[in-house]
Amino acid sequence: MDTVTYPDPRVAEFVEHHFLPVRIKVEQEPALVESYLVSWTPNVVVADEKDRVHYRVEGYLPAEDLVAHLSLGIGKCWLNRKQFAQALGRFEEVSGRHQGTDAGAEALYWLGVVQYKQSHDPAQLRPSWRRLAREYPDSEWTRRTQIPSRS
Amino acid sequence: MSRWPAGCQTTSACFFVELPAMEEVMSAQVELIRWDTSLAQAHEVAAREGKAILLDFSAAPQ
Repeated sequence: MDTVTYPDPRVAEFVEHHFLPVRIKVEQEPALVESYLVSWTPNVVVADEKDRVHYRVEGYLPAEDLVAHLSLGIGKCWLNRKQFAQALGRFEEVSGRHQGTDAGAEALYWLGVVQYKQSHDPAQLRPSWRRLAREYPDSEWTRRTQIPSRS
Repeated sequence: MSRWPAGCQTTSACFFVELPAMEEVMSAQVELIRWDTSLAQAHEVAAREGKAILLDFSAAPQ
């Protein structure tokens, strides 16, 4: 991550602009490794001031993918804080800018969730989830929308 | 277009590499991530500004 991904200007600019970056050296901070459930590195956690984890990226990702997933992490923060307008904007942005990627599919999933949460109307799930099924038919995120009906 | 130094002739043995203008060099400089914030400091700022904390666990655990 330090040799390729973090020095990439897209990543550096995004992290500096949107986050408070903190590096934890795992050998020196066993208590934090334990409390944040880190069993493998690279392990990037999006958290808040109360140590609540909102999103996690495990394993290596190339620069553009990492930016997309960190952007999802911000969206999840807003969603968990019930700041639905901000979450909506973030997921819309990821679904457009990172169309065709795993992050783009995940963004559409959460976009539907936010639209439902905002309105309390299950019909509001459908536009984003239909788009998810159409654009990402083989995605795990599409499968997550296919709630089995009782037979 | 290349600006050839005075006295230099274009032959197969002569190469002139044009350096980029200073403003191009400056704009290409990479903004690096500053990892010098402690978790305690990050908690404080996050509570005040509502910004998210990015924790990078950086080496393989023993």
